[in-house]
Parts: sequence; C-alpha cells; structure tokens
Amino acid sequence: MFTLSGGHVFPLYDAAVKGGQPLRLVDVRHEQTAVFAAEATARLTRAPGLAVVTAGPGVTNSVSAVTTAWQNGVPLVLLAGRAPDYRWGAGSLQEIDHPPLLAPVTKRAWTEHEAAKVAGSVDEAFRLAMTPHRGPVFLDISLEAIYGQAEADLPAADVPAPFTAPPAAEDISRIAALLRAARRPVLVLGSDVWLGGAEEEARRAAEELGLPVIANGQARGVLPGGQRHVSRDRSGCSRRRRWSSGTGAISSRSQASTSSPDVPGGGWTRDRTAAWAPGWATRSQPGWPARPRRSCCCSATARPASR
Amino acid sequence: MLLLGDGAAGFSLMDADTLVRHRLPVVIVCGNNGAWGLEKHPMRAVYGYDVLADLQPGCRYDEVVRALGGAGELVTSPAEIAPALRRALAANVPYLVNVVTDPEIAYPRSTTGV
Repeated sequence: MFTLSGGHVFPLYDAAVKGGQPLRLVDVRHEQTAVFAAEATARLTRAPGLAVVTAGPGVTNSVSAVTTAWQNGVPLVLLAGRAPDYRWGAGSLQEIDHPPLLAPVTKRAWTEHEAAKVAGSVDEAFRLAMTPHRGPVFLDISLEAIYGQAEADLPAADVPAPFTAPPAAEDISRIAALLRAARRPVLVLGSDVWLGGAEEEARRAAEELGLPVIANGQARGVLPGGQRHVSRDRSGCSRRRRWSSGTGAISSRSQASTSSPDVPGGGWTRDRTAAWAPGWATRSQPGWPARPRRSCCCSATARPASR
Repeated sequence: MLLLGDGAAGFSLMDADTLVRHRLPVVIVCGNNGAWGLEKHPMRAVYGYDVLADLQPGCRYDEVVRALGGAGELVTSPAEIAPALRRALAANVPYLVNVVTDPEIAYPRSTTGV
C-alpha cells in the first residue's frame, strides 16, 4: 500500500497493521508518487497496484498519475477517503465529489456509502482493474462507511487471475485469414503482451510466422536482441504495409471501442493504428509535411519466410 | 514570508528554485516536528497507536534551499529564533529557517474538522 497519511483513511491503515496478512506500507511525500509507485509495482509484478489517499487534495494530487496508468492500461486501485455524507454540501474538511474528477481517466470511479458493502466494492475494484483491457479503478468511501461497523460476507480471498482467457477461435481464424492475405504484414507487440502473460506465445508466434516485429512499451525484451525487430522508421514501415496487427499494443482507452465490424478487417486497419499511434496517421494525412523518406529498416528482413 | 510545516515542504519545496530564479528573497519558516502532526495525534486518539505519520526528524530542509541557491539555517532552541529571523530578513535570498519542534506536542484543536 502506497499512501500519504490522512484521517479519512485511518481505518485502512489499522486494517493493514492488524489484518491477518501483513501488508507492506510505504508512505510517500506526495500522492502523485504513491500512484506512480502503484503503477510501477503493477507493471513489474503484473498484480494490481494499490494506492490509498485521503479526501480532497489527496485525490486531486493523484490525478496526473492515475491518468498515466489509464493511458498505459496498467491495473491499479486507488482507494480514497471522503467527507461524511450526513452533512454533505456543508463544506466539511476536504469535501469534494471525487468520482467526476476521476471518471474520465479510470475504468470506473464510484463512491461506497455503506460499511456493509465496502469489502464487496473493494473486491469489485480489483477485479475490474485486472479485467482486460486493464487500467486504474477509483473508489472513495464516505467517512461513515469507512469508520462504520457492519456484518458482511467477505468476498473469496482469491487473487484475480492475472492472465486472460484464451481468445475466441473465430478471432484466431480471422487473424490467420488476414495474415495469409497480407502482402507485407508486421507484428506489433505492446505492453499488454507482458501484462497479459503472453510473452512466450508472442515470441513463438513471431518466430514461427517469421514476421518483422515492432515491440513497444513493455513488449520490449519479449524477443531477444538481434531478432527481426523493427526499431526505427516505424512510420515508413507502416506506410508501406497494408495492415498491422495491434496484438496487445493497444494501450489507450480510445481503442477499446474502435473495433468496428463495418470496417474491412474488423478494425485492424490504419484506423485502428491511428487510434493508438496518432502520430503515424497524422504524418500520412494529405497536407501535412511528410517526414524525410528513409529506407525502411525492415525491408531486407521483413519478408515473411514462407507464405 | 511563508510559514509551512515539514510535511508541506514535501509538496513544494523544490520551488525554492523558482524563488531563486526570479530573485525573490522570501523568508520561509518551516515548523519541523518530523511528523504529520494532524494525523499522528488523532490516530493515537482513535486507535491508541499511530502509523504512517512519521517523517525524518530534524530533516535539513534548510540545506535543500541552500543547495537550490538560497540559504538557511537550523534552529533548535527558542532563543535562536529571533536572531535567525533577522539573518533571514537581511539575507536578500530565499532563506529557510528550519525550526525543529517537539513531535509529542499535539496540535491544539477543538473540532475534528468534519
């Protein structure tokens, strides 16, 4: 638990100290650091990060770091205190309605008002953070609920599965068909390859298909150095290729909804590429100055070994 | 003149650099009890112990300001406060008077704020 102390969240500290399983507590000097640290642990361990902040400035100080986790698709839970409900609107200490501030940069941002439902809501927050497409989840708990006492059934103490279910067979078939028809395919690997535990499969796919690979984010390192990486002039490569597969590379929220059945290729098109790499699309727009044309770094080795 | 605690220094003391760059000779008086006082004592009152409320005792925030191009000094007794303030006001650079106080003294308050 990364945190900066505040009275609105004392019960979470008390639970961390007295709970059955010891929870390492790391107190920082600015809430932004707490959330950055939670994101870092999530990236490294592939388990959801946890940050706890106090009401008001504790939450507002967190927003930039939550936004980073949102853009990166990194699973973390931000728990916050909240001014009491019984005199909401009267200007209590650090009173502000947090979820509207966090909603645009989280998978979900909501308030728990009942002590009996706190455990269930926290459990829901972790499950949601870990459900692909992963990302930060915000939950604040009103003062009455967090200091209150209630009888409640605790959720099962299982850890949310870090890895996703296998993809649907029809999706695989569709990708295979596209791949067979593609003239100059390239495989794009992004952070979700790592966060989803698919690094071995991604490496095997790259090797067996003999595709050139663009490794981005935490997919860097999935392939050993010296393999057919496309590491430079990616825009040149993308211009020359008919389509690219965004396997796991989709890391910003907008793409989650960009897959359109009306688009040929089901969204695996430049449109989709544009969603997660807007620079590529921008540079290819008419009227924009093109970048100096360089030889494509992958042209010599990019051709699939057999097709 | 700016009054702040050591906890608050963690949020914004880097901007002593701003004061230096803009040649603003602000006198900063830091009450340094090495703790989040508004959390330490209330948590003790509620639970009988406190956790996550301690900062470095006697941390040299004055040296931070000095490193950024200002100046400062450490004050550990009441008699040193007035001479330190005089030096701060005459310094003509951002100057942090780092006044070490007793973390066991609870902040006097009559309400809980909520």
